[in-house]
Amino acid sequence: MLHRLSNHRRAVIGLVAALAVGGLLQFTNTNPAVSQAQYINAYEVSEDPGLDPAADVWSKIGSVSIPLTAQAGQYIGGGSVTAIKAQAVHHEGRLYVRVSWDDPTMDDATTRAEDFADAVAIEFPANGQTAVPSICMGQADAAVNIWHWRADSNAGLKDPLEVYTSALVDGYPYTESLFYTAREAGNPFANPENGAVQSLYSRAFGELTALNVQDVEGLGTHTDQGWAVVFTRDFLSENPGHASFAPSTSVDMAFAVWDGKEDERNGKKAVSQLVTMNIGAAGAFEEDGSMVGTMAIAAALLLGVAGLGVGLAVYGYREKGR
Amino acid sequence: MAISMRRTSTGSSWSDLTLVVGGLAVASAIELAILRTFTRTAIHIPALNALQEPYEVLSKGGRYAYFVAVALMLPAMAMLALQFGRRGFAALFGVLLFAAVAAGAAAGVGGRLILDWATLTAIVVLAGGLAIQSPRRAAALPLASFGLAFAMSGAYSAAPDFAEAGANVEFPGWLLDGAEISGLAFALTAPLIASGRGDRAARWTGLAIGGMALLVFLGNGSTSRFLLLWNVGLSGILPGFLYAAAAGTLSYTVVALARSGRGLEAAGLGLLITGGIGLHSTYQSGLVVAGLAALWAGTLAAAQAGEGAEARAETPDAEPQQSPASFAATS
Repeated sequence: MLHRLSNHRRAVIGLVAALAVGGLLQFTNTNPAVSQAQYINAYEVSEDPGLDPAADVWSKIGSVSIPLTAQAGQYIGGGSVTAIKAQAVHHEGRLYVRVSWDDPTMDDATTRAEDFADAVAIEFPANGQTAVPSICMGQADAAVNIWHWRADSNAGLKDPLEVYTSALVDGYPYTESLFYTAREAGNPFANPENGAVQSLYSRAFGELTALNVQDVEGLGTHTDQGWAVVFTRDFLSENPGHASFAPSTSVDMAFAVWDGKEDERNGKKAVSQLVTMNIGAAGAFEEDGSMVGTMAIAAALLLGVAGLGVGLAVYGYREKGR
Repeated sequence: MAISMRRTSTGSSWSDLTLVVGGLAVASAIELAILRTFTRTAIHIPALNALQEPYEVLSKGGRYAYFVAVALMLPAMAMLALQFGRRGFAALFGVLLFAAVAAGAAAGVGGRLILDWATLTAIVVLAGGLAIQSPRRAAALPLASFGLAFAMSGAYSAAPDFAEAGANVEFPGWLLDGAEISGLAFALTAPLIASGRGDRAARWTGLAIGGMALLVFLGNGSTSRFLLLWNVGLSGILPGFLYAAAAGTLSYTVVALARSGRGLEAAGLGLLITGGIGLHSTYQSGLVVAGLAALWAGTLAAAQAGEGAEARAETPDAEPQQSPASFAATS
């Protein structure tokens, strides 16, 4: 083996040099590779989009379709939603993210034990993290901040008599929270007035916990096309465990969607891989509007370059025949 | 492992090439196994905190393999580019186009619009040209399928790039389904590249890997699909046994190529596997470009060897041909 390798002295020297250069690159943390992963541009807009998913601003900017895959966990199923569309803008130091997906049924009640709500979540690295966290609820040295919106919290508390129509309640004289144990204990799903979004923190499976400061707002609406949900939060958040944002920076994010109709809950859901959100310092819209000329030049260049390559391939094929 | 050599007087350059490209394939395979797979699934290990030290050592090892692969990519591409003659102008074009935009991106020159679409163009030209040039007609099917899968997946995810030119472009979702089907078609038809040369070792390897993949899909389908999406760009929407079969046919083909003296092509196919489908990073795109170029160089060498043999058969009194096609170093 060594004798044979000695016949390839140049290649062996090259391989040894690569081992050394690799070590040097690692030691100096010099990574010449550039990400080509899917990304979302969050441009600055002049008007406040608010929480309305149907606000004008969303129709003026492009959306990015992000494929999802099934996470079944301990249950069979998951992944009934195959893609989401995401958009993002920022206005006066506040980030807005709109997520929409196809879902013909509106599952916004969890009154019965067998009902599950539609939901969507966005995962960011928690502030202060230097490594990209594992997408599965973070990791020991890289925590995540999760914004979780649920349709039942969005809809608010519903009267049990709506679903248990034959039920009869003789009377319940108490109105204080003390006698509504879930509400008194701070269960967010018994306190929908606190908002439809929970800001959560995790460093591993089984460690998911609500953050002390809940500063993420959200609102969802359901149409024939499905759900559209807007999340919003101020860029700056000094609280531990919260995600951080700033203009002219990029942040990793991932999405998860639950379809209540398909009994999806907890780890039975559809998830994306990490995508990058570029928080632009520039405005979203061009002053002069039309970019047809630029697009035509870009398309012509692309076709020209591709045509050159195909021509060279055909030339090579003909050379083979000679 | 054994190294078998078919030697000619100018054979060393091909053998050196095979070693360097093979080294790149091995480094990227280690990186894929540790950095992209193990560290992403290690959270499933109970009491990981107690194993923090070995975990960090292994993680650093995977990161080192990544940097070695990055360091090997430039010489591998340069050596491959030097192999292409007139028949390989398109391959040279593809390699140089990608190298130029990737270097520009590393230096902060050019936006994603140029980087992503030039990368897609380079890979489509390489895969399409290779399919056209392949001496075995049947081998065109997996090669064209790979190019199609990469183009559809890459185009879908690169659509937002047009925002740099002020346009909101969105491609239809069926491109992703098409990429999934084409990607599987590439893997399942990959044995056509080896053209039935697989021996018993290749068949057993294919069965073992395919069987293991099937068990993994049956045992923990969700994690398997995560890894598919993150590592090779497939979302796993089709039945798990298809992906298991694809793992089996791909590993069969790599071993069959390596054991039949086509080490460069084996390394090239290995690079397509570690590079994956769709746009992830210039590192993974570079693996794909190098893999396609290696397959092309191997094809050209085989064709030249065949022509040399034909010429010797036609002129029995002639001097032996100084064929460069002695690349058959397999390890």
